[in-house]
Amino acid sequence: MRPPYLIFFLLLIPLLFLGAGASKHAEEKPTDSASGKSAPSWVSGTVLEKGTKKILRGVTLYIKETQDQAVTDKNGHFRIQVPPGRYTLTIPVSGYEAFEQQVVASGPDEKEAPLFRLTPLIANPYKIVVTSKKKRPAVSSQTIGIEEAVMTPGNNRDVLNVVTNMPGVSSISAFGGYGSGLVIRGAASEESTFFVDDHEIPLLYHFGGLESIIEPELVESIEYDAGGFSAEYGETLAGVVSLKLKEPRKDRFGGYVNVSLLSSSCMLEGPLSEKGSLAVSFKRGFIDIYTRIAMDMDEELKEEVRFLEYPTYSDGAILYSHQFSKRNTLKLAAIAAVENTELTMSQEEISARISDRVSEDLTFSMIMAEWSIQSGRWKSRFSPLIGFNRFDVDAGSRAFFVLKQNQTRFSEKIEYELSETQKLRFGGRIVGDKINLRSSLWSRKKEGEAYHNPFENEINANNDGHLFTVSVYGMDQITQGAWMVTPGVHALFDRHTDQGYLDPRLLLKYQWSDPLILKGAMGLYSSTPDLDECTEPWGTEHLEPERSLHTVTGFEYKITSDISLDLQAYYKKLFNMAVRSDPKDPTVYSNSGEGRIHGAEIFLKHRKTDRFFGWVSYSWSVSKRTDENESDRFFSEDIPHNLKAVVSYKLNGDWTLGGRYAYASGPPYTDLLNVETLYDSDNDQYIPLHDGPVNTDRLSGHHQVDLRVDRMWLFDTWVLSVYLDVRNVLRQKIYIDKSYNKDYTESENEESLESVVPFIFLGTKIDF
Amino acid sequence: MKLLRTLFGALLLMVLAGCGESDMRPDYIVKKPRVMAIKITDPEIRRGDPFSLDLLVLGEDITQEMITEVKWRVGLEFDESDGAVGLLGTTPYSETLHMASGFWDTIPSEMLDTLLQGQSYLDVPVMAELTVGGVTLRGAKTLRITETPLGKNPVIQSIALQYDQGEETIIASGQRKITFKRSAHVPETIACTAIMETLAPGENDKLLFRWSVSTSKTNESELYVSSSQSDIEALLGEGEKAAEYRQSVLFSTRGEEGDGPIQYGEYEVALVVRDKKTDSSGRQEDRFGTDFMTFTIAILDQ
Repeated sequence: MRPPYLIFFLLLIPLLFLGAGASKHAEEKPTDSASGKSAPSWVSGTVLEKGTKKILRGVTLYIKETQDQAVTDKNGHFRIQVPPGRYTLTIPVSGYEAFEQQVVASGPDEKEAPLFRLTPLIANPYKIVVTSKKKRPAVSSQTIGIEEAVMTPGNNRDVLNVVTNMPGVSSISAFGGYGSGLVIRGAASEESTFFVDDHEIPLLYHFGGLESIIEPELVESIEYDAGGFSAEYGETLAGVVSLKLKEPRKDRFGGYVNVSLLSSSCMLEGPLSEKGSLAVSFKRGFIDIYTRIAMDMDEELKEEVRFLEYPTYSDGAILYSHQFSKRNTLKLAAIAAVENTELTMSQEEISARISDRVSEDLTFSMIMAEWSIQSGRWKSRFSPLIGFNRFDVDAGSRAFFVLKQNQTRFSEKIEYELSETQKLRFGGRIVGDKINLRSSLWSRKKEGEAYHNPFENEINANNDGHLFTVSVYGMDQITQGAWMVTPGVHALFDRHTDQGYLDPRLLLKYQWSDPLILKGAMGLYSSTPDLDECTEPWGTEHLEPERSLHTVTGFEYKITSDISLDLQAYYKKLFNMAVRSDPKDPTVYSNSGEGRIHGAEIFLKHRKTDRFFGWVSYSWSVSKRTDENESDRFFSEDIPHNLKAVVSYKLNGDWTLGGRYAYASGPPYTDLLNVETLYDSDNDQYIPLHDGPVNTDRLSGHHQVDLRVDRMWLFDTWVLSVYLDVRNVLRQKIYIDKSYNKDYTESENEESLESVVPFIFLGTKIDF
Repeated sequence: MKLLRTLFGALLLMVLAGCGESDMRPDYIVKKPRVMAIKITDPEIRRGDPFSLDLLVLGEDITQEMITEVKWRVGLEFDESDGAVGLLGTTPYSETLHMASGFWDTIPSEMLDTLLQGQSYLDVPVMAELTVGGVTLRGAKTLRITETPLGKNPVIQSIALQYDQGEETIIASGQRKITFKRSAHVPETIACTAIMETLAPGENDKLLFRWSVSTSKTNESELYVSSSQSDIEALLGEGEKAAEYRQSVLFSTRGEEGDGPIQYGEYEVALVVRDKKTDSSGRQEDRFGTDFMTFTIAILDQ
């Protein structure tokens, strides 16, 4: 019997060893002293978007091997408890490339949770934060998002320029684009108003149109009202462009550096505290470098023009937002811009009164605040502004202009919800500017004048004065069934002219069916005349306000959830317009000018999706004026046909292609070729003696194609984009006016700068 | 102020306009007849003083001898219906018109007293009208009546020409016509310098010098002016201020770029010199002095 027992023991010994080993392992495994079980291990981490570092919240992920899953929290964190080992983490998120990664479960002492970066299928470095989306009663209004504004071809990231692609807008200037003002529905550029948040600012562009002073990514959105707008806005005969500054991001610090052929800029923004966030931007133009190169390359040019100070410009901004509570926020904005240049010109270019040495110096700065409070049914937005501007142009002791302007302004907007169907909106604005003006100049040529002799008069001014206006408005937005009716009134008193006006307005919208809204508007829109028209010694004091009566009708139709159609027709009657009324004295004005404008617009838009945005707009208009004792004539910037088509498409995550086509009729002009002239021997100039009709001829229209290509590279923590934006790719001639030789015996068409100079914008941007 | 945008744009356009290319002739090349200058001697006078009127016309088919009649009107705007009458006189032109003291006899003295009342000077427009080559031309100039006349006309003494004739540099002045023949070498450039009476060195920046040239009277040719400071200094000497203020110019006989065929033809060249006003602080400091001179350049294909 002994051998079987021996075999048993021989077999038992290894088992005992195995058992000992197992128990040894059991001893090595951390034990829960209470329960006596092993310590937990976890798969954890933070899920971000690659490149933008955007936190991905509410994302469901799982372990492939165990099918255990978790959902990321508000900070993008997740944690899954698993036995120790190696696993495959899978994070399937719509809109992102499939993500799988091998991970090792770690103990609770693991200090740093790893980061998992998902690659978006369509990358978008623009952080768009739309803070409010209210239903506006406005009839001819469009809202443009920052990405559309920046990516529209031909714009070179100029967010204001995108407005030129809106229906009813044309721009006739040497620079094209917004630079020198917009013509909205056949009205002069001075008759439209530009707002940044709640305030009108006097300066939009450097050097009259080269580049906007406002960095694009400080902007949340742009609202454009072509006419028939609510009682909220005054001092405007034509349209309103309103630019809304954004609140700086609160999620993390980030920013960008952008370098293009025209300028370089940078921005940094992020949270300063739980409630406050800050954005700082700076831009510097390169025009001085190009000018220097051009001068070095062209000896002849060097002798025509010599720069003592090459043109330089820069601007900067600081935005701060503080959220005291969800219903109580404060926004502060400070914007500053400087530019200067000094040059000498060859003697051939100089008249007897203009020096061969010309200089320009500009400083613009403003600080504004916006305090928004909501309490129960009340909403209030109070916005003060102070600004200091100096504008100094010196072309000799007989041709200089020095303007110092201290701005003090207040705006208050209140909304009271009477009921679910009725909202009262009212508010006011106070403008109190201190002006100091020293100048020796001449009166400027006015719209509709075939020729204006700049040496006919000499205006010396040394004025200290104040501009003071008070305006109030009130409107009642009533929604009853399918109707939205908004009657309102805007009133203003201007201390400078001692005049005031009362503008009643009515806006209507009717929801005919789900996709179809009928709309219309009618009202008076008034404005005090331009300062040089109503201020001595330049003009005539106590001129009355200029006025226009708008009537607009049309409809909006939602063809699909993405595509909408807007069709409108309008008629505007202008009266009380300030015009020169004494042929011998250009400083005498009267309110005897009249005009009428009528037209129609079609706007077909595809809303912005991840990959695509685009629109087609066509407008037809006829704009005429009647000056004192004159017969009807075309407005100098009457553009009967204006067609624009814009598309932008993201081919894949990396490439975006965009194109813009535009056709516009040519503007009218007065033909002065071979007219009789009077030679002014004192000033060496020939004065055309034209006494006939004005604007009876028309320049030829033009086609224009702009193209834009963007390429993006996503890295873990930053995004690199390169863009090429070419305006007027087909090098079409764009005629803006007629120019003549000295004695009007020869003439040629004057071209827009983009006809002469290739506008090729190449830029690189790093977002981090 | 919306005025700011307009002024900005105008300033930059002024500069950029010079950089763009134009298909029109330069302003100094005159084809169709133009009034180039009006001269009053003296531009500032006491009432009762005599004064003379002269004008210069330039054009392709125009010579000064063709001007036979100029209607001059010396006077203010006036309206008979409201009784306001200004200084007025009209007379036909024959060479330089001399307005003798008899002209003043037609103006009632008390009227001048009224017009001058409270002012130290009275600026009176002088208008000229003439028809030449079938074209009616008009010009205007200011005559200043004052008790303390200060301004005088600058005086062009002569025009000095400098050009290369083979190995030799020729300097000539005072000639009213200069002729070059292909057979005897046509210089590539002809430097012209205005020699002024009573102009102190360094004072030429107080004057504006305007050179103009007609298109050829015999064919379609044109002479181009080079105002290149470096080219002028290369010919006339470095540091010569004449180049900076265009007291000197170069005429190219070989087209705009200087490397084309010889521009044979007959050209009338005009120099007009004016007082510059940019240093004056107001109209009372303006000076209206003017002088002009012409000469002919003939380049013959012989």
